[in-house]
Amino acid sequence: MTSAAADAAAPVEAEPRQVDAGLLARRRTRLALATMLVLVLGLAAIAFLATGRLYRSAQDRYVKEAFPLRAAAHDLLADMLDEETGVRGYVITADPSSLQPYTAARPRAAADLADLARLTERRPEIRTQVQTVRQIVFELNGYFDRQVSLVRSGRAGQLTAQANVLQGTSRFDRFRATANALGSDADRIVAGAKRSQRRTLWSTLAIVLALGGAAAAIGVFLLLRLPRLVEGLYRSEQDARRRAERGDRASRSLAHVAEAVVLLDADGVVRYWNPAAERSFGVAEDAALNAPVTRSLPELATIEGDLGGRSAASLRLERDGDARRFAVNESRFPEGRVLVLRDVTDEHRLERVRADFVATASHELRTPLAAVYGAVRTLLRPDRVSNAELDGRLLTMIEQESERLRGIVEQILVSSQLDRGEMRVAAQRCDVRELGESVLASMQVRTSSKHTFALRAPGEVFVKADPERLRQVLVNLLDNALKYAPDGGLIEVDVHERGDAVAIEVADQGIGIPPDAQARVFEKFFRLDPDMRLGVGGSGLGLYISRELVREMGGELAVRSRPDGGSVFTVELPRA
Amino acid sequence: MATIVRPRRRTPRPAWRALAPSQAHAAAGPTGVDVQQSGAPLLPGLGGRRVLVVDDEPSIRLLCSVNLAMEGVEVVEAADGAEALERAAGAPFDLVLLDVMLPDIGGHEVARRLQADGVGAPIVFLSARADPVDLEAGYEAGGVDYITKPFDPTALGARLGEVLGRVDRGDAEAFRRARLAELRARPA
Repeated sequence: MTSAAADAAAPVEAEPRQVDAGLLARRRTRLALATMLVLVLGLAAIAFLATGRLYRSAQDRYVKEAFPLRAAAHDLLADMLDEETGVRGYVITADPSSLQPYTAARPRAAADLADLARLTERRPEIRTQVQTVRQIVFELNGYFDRQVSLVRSGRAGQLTAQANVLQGTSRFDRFRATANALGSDADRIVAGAKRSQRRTLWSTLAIVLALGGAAAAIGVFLLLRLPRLVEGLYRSEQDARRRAERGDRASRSLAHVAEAVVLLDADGVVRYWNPAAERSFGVAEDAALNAPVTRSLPELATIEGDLGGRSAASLRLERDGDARRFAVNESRFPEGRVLVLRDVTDEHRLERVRADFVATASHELRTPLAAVYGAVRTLLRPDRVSNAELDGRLLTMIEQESERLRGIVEQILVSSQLDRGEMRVAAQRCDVRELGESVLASMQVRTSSKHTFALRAPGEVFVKADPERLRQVLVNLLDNALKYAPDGGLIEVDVHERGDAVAIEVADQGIGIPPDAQARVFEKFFRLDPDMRLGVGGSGLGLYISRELVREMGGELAVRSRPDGGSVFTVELPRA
Repeated sequence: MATIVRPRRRTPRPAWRALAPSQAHAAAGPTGVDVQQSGAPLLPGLGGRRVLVVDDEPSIRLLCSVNLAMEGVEVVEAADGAEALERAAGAPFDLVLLDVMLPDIGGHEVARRLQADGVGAPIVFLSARADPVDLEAGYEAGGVDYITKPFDPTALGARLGEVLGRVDRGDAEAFRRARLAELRARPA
């Protein structure tokens, strides 16, 4: 029970999950976008930080580069001062020891110049200045050398040198100015580089911020709009798939229904034609599709008018000589209509048989009723002069016709009992010849002189049967013989033994039964002359009841006949 | 009393309405005398008229004969279509009362043959087939009236008298056509 409940619950549970799938898609999209947004912002922050760090490292590099340059410039200036001090002291004192600062500073100045050249290798803007400095240093060194040589040459030279030194101060001042300019130039270059670096930093930061902001804005926008959009898309896709599945299921169901189902568009062109339609109308789907329905089903035009007002109409189709009847049901909708055609041939046939039965049964009842009623009215007619002979005839008529009515009602009841399987027959030993004689005698009484009866039997013949039911069967067969031999003639009852059985043959010289009807005469309600053109009435139950009764008694009832050659009905019963 | 009864009889209505089986039946009443009284002004005397009764049922023939004879009608009986045609060819009749279902030739066919043979007698069908289709077929076959079984044989004379009255007045054919039109106009 639990498993059944679980089975029943499963599809119910599955349904909301499916419905949530759209929402799920939306959530997933939102999550993905949010992640993307976070990543974008993270990247922007990293870019921001990286830019700052890059800036700082560049700044450091400039500082590293500018500091030695200035230092070298200062060193050079100091060394040149040392040189100048040494030379001046020597010129004044002519003491060689006072020349010591000069000799010590001179290689240092050379090293300083080399440093400057190295440091300004990639700085063309101050290189010329470095060269100027070098030129001045070279000139100064030459000048110093000359003064030292003058002092060494003697006193006169010393005095010239002393005069030169005083003049030479200006020369040195020029150097000092140039060296100082170099230092400040280096400072300026560093400051300029710093400024441009800062500009680059700010513009980079601005671009990073702008791009990051734009990315964030786009991300936020997408985050707000895209999930809903995705959900909508997902849902519509899901709907489409579900619709397609439904359509597929519908057409699969329609392929297996017994009714012909035809879908027409507004112009009456076939859009769907199921297999039952193929079978029913003998038109293949490919031939019927996309063509006007009247091409495949021309008969439809005849009931077109009926279809509009009524929900169902009846259509008669003839294909290969086989007439079939269809109940047509039409459903209209704005884009077209659906026709459902159900084969009601069998129902129609049965309905006609029933209608025939009602008509014939009512006719069969009306005729004796007319006699009884008429006789009673006549007997009660007040202006009638009493007549004993006529009274007797009328009373006999009432008796006989009432008996006939009773017989018909009995037949209907027996047939209904047989149908319900409630008929009980008593099987006992009875003499067919004796029974036959009795039946024929009673028939002879109520028959015109046109017919003659004959019974042939080899003495006493015993069968196992219910005598009352067997009598009923024989009366039925003889009644038929009379009815279907309107021109009269001999009606023979021939009894003979046939192995373990006894055959009772009832033969007439009547109109016979067409071969195609011979198998059907035992069917309920089947009548050879349903329109009663021959004036032969009957409920269509006689032979049906007879065969059923004979079978109940363990026997069989059969017929052989040919049109206009009379009929022979044979009752075969087990011998007793 | 008479002043009350007479105007009512004069109320205009289609002739056949008064003759519908139920009406005729009711008019006959339990006494039957009423029929003759009420029908008296309309009916010509039936006395001396010759009627051919065709029915394969002896009981029906007997009932018709006995009751019509009481009205002074001369009745000739026939048990099937062939006999009917033979009798009709032999002597003139004022009316033929014809069963539809006969063992040899159907009643409709007998009616057609009678008309084709120039037998001018009006034909009244008497049949157990009481469906509107059957009535329509009867009127189509030339019947000027159609009586369904079971019927009251004691009122038969009155009914036939009215038919003869219409024939004498010359509106039997109009009556037939009206009845036929009515039957054809019935809902499917």
